[in-house]
Amino acid sequence: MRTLLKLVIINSLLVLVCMKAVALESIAENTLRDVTGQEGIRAELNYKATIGRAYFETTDNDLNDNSFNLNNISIDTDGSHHGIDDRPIKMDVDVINNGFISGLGIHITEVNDLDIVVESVTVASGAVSETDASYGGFSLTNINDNGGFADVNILAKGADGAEGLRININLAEKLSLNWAYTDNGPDSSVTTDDYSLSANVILSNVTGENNIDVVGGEVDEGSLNPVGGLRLNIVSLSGDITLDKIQAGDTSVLQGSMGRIEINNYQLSPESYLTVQGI
Amino acid sequence: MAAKFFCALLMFPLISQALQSLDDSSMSNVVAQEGIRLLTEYEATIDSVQYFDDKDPSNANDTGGGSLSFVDVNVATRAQQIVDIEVIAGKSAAASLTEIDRTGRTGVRLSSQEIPVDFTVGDLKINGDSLGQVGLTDYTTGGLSPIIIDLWAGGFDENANGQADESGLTLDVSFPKESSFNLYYEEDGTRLSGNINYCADIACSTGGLVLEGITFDVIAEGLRLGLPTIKDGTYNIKNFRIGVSDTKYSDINELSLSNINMGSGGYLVLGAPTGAGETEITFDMELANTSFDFIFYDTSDSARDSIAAHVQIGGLNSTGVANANGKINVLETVDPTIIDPLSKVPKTGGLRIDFEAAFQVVATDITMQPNGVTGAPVLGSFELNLQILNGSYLEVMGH
Repeated sequence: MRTLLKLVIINSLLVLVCMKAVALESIAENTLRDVTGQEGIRAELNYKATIGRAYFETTDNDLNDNSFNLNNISIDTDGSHHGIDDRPIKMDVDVINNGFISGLGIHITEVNDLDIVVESVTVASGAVSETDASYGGFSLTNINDNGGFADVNILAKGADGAEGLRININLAEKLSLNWAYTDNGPDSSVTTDDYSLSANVILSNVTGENNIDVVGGEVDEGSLNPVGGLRLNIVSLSGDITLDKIQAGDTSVLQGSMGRIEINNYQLSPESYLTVQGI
Repeated sequence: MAAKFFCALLMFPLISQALQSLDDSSMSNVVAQEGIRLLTEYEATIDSVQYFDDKDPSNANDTGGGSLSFVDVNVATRAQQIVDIEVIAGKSAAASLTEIDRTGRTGVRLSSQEIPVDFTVGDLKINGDSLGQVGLTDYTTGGLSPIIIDLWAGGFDENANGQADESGLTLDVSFPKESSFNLYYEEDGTRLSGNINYCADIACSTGGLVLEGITFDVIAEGLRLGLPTIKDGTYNIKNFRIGVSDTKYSDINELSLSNINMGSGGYLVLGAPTGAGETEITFDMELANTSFDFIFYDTSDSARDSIAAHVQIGGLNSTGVANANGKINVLETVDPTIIDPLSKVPKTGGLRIDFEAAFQVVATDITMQPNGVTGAPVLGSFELNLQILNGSYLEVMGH
């Protein structure tokens, strides 16, 4: 889930960076004459949106389209304040070049009440129907950096001629959120009989350095054909996680907690990797 | 695993660029299959994973406040692990080992020919007192058949209409007969260990264990885990031994459970207490009719003697089903009624399970069979009807 959150954030930031890059090109040089000492972009993101369905689809020998679906996604950067007393997420975007590596540095602050909700997750063969049985839904709500900041650096690799991306992430010292998995009940739709497994989550001191590269030469077992893949190499990844007030079921009746879990100083060793291929 | 799967999904737009560069001829030997392959090696270390039973600040009589800790946790691959992910169509009841009908359903299959993973805990503690070390090592599928995990949308049939129209998750897991792993518990340099495998005979020509219909749901009472349906499964503990090294040990010999059958409908529900400030885990479980053949082998270099029986577990006095319920706490406070046998002083509370249960165990066809003897006489059978009353408990502490 942590990986998912990071990737959602990274994907969102990549989209924003692409948009802002276009804005940079349109600024004429003479308009920059009065700017001294500092360059870069400051963005304020106040965003509320719903997505009907996001899906990944494969074709089984051109007979059936099999799809993995995230249904009725909603994203709100500002929780209940949206449109009333906006509290946008602030981002400073700079081009970094220290002589060895270069790339984009994104400094994120004032994450106050970011909500991401996926109503249901389904897998379908052929047409997708609202009556399909679902794996349930999940939500990450009230994501809050508690006055801290996060840094995301998207860098070209330093070595001359090296290809691929280095992504460094430092989340806020204390990033809190409410996590829930929701069982939509026997009717597969959102109703009052939906119950959740939930917890208050705190991510502390989460940092990571990862290399992402499209590689060739990974040999598919049983085949002479080399298959390319997307490879994620871990340089470092560490942090702490607390799951507080774990609850399940009808919380109007079961108001107590099933306990608290703390995961202290998890680390993925350098040279850990994940390669994703098509088959 | 779920994180990796989502990771793969989010990255697929990038992968698709690479896929487009393959020409048709290079794809000519690929038939009827699309999906994702994950190749990974990793080592994850965690200083500690701790469970806390927090006290209710508004209740002076709350006896909670204890902790259960897994210290120096390590999960690592010994070699590259390959997992294939693909979308699959459900089978008819006739094609299912346990005759579960999944016609018309679409699921996700994770399969791996080899999962070279070790999992170790350097110290298991209750309230800071050590219980010892535990580990699962040398897991292997045997390299012949893959371990298969099928994930189906929808959990148990909550509205009892015979259709998969619920939310939730259903799991089918198939362990190939060649797969095995080692388990150990170690304290003060002495290790109790065993090798788990799924062979139904010495040549391992038959065997395996298929768990179908494991369900996960959240219902009003809490998190519901539907117990699997099993048909003719096998589960063995070989090299069951205790010792101080790989060469200095004593054999406890072998245990074998074969022809394991478990009916559908069993469940375990885990819930929270009703009081807003309280912390505990409540549980309620039912076990559908279960049976297996039990064999204890007394093995030496020259002989393989055995004690065998057919065992059935059911409801008390042959009515209903085996059931149990209760609550789990980790207590911090001193219980003066519990005396530490070593220090002779009252011991701090520990992991406490308060429970009541009612079930029947019937063992038939009990035999003692010397090596090389066939058709040993049947000693008889016994029937145990056990009702454990409310107020019973089990408390576990470190020392």
